[in-house]
Amino acid sequence: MEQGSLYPALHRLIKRGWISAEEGTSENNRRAKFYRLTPKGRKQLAVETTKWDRFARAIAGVLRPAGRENES
Amino acid sequence: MNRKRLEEEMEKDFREHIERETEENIERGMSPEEARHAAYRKFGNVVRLKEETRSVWTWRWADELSQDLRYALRTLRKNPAFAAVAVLSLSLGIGANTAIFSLIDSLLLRPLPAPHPEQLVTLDLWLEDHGQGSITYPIFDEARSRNKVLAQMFAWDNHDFQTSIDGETVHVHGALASGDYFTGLGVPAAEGRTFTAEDDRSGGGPNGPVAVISDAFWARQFQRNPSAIGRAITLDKLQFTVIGVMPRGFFGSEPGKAPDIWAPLNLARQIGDERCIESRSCWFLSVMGRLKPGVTMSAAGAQLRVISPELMKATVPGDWGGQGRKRFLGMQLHLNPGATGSSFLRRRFSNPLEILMILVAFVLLIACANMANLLIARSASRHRETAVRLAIGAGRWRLIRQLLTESVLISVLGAALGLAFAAWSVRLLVGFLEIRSNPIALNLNPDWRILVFTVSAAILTGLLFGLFPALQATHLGINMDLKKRAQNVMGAPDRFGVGRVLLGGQVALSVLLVAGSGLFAGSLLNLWTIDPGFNPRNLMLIALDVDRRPEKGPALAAIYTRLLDRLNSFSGVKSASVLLITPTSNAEWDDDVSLPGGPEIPPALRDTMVNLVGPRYFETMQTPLLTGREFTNQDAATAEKVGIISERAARAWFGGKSPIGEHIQFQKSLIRIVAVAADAKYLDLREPDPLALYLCYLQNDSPGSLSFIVRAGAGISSIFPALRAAVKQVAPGTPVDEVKTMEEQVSESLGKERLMASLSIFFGVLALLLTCIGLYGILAYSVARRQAEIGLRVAIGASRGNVIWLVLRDTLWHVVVGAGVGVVAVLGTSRFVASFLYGVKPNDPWTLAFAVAALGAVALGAAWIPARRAARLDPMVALRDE
Repeated sequence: MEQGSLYPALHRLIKRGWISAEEGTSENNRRAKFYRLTPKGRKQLAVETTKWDRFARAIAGVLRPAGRENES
Repeated sequence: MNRKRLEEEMEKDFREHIERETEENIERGMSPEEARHAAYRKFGNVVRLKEETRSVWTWRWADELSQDLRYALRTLRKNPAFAAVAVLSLSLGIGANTAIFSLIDSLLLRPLPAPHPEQLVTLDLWLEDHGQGSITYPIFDEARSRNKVLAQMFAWDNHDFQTSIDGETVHVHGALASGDYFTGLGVPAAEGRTFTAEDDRSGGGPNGPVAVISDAFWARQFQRNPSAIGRAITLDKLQFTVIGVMPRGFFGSEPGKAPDIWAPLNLARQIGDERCIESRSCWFLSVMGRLKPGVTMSAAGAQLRVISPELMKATVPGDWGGQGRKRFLGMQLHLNPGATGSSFLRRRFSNPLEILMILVAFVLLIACANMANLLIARSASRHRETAVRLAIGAGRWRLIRQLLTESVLISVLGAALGLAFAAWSVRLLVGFLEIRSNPIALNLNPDWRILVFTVSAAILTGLLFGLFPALQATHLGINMDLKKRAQNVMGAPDRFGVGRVLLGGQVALSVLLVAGSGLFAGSLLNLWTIDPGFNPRNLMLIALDVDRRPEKGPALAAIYTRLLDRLNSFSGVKSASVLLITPTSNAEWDDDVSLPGGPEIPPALRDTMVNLVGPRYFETMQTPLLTGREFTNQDAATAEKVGIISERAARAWFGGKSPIGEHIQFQKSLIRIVAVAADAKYLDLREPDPLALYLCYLQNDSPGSLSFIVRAGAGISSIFPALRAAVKQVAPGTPVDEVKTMEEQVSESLGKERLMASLSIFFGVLALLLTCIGLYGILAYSVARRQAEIGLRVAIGASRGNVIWLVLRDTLWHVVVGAGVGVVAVLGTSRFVASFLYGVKPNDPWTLAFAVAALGAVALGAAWIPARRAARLDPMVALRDE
């Protein structure tokens, strides 16, 4: 994956109001941009995480029996 | 501003990211050069990522749209001839569509200027399968009192009032309306009040006779002075009080009419119309109603049908018997949606307008096919550009979008010009519907329906004619097209097949339109050259409205007689007479005739068209008398009742026997026949010659509103001062304003036919012109494209004839097939317009032959220049060009 594709993604998140950007200095005293989750972003994250969990569980449910069969 | 900041920030982010990566790479031990390259590689395509980021913050399509628009404008400006032909042909197509649609909109679709128009209904009387829009006052009155489903039921009669303005007596358009008219429409007065049921009484209500005026009349007559309310105004010799002014734009219940004065219906009894309002057989009222809340139209209609029989029984004319009575009792009240009001014009013109709308849509289709052809031809010349763009990575969809943007831009420009064209031409169209004595006031200002129509017509047209060429232009193997020039010498694969199919379609539609215009024009010509049984040339009609004077009966007849004597004495007048019903004016007076003591007349031959005329009538009309004599002043009220019948009536009632001296029974009188006149048209020119009975006005108890007819000789223009003087003396206060010739009258009666013929001819010519342009475009393109091939053929010995045939062959084949399809289409569809034709069969072979010949001539004309150019091609020049 190209590193640059990070930027369109970050801009998309900013536009949706899920993160905010702030300029500052990093620990090694360089100019840096800090991206921070907004409250709205945090809520969205929770939603997305739940979704992912449910999805992952479903996949796992499908895979496990097949795995057992392989073991036997 | 914001956009610029974002842009700078993105630049900075990207730069710093790559710098940091480069530094890290150097720390890992790469050379600075190597480190920078590696950083870029890892970051990705900077330009594309920038695009992608930008598309997050803006609507990229808006950006691209403006890009495409600018590009399209540039290409149009570079090729002004193409742009002009394209925009002009579309503006004609779209403009003509908009014009016809505006008429349809204002006449058929626009709701009345009233709140909740969807609750309004119109009432018609139906007998079996035949409906009519007018109702007698007794029926209206009974229906109103028995009705339980309509909140209001109201009626009106269009009425021209005589009023005195600046000392001159003039006519003002208006209406007599029942008391619930304004409450039913739900429109209150802008100033003062409207009249109500209380005011709608014979002689007037508590305030005496009252009248409501229009905003336009208020401005014209009273300069918008509020003191107009309460002023007295004399209408038809009766004093009225102005009690209200209607809001601007209110025209009442009938689209096409613009009344200036409304007066209560029952005052008709005081202003000379008492005969009609009291009569049980005078069908003069239009009736509408407003549904009670919660009552559906079908429920209301059912209730009115239920009460119809008792209603008819209560209102049947006492002296009607037999068949007439039975038919009267069988009539039913029907409801129809009334949101758009009730209009005579609509009944007369809705079918022609619908047919014209279809024809004009065909014109637009032809214009579309034409544009598609032009675009295909042009995109062919832009193949290389397209191929290069595809090769360097432009998406196909993106290119298509750009091409479509261009075609929609063309059609929108066309539509803008078309709107102007429509605004001008729609007034011209209204002229066809109009009768001088009966001007049409339609609101033709574009409303949202017209705008939506035009804008969607423009966009759809643009997509329709643009999509195909765009798909085709971008459907290229990249390599193939860049290499293609090499193949051109020996006939490149023909991508123009579709263009020819479009051409064929265009030809087929053109044949249809030209044949249609031939049919309509032929009908009009037949009607024009028909012998109406009188000579309309140099015949003048003067409507004097003498009957609004206080004199009645014999005293009124005496006024007519005195005026006639004067008229007949003027130099410039060969002869003059009077008549009650002007032929072709669509007015009629008909009743059954029987033979006293003689054989029974078969039912179909009883109903006779009646007219009241004066002495010298037949001389003035130049309708020959076959036997017998004209009426004279001796045929007075006290003398024996006499009549003149038409040739057809004589044959129908008396067979071969001479009817002179025989008697017929008409209404309550016994009439002795004194002459037989040649057959003449009565209602309109299209009907077969009617059974006609002429009676002398001197023998009628109340001759009513007669018109004068004058056969003009040399120096006719000088009669008007003399006529005014005579009127002032004999019937003071009577306006002399409506003078028209019988030719105008006949021509007005053919308004529908003239509308259809002129417009279809216009559309036919437009179709031919467009087809000509399209054909020329295709051939010119194909010659240019096959230049090398043609050159080679000429070089190895092809003759000019060979070359011309080569160029024309494929294209003419499509023209021929198209014409064939067109002929089949005409044969299949022309019966739908049969009811608009007169004296022409829908499948008239001459008309079809004419259409095909016209198309052939146009095709040859269009092919001529490109074919000659091909034939004159110098093989050396052509081949060297490769």
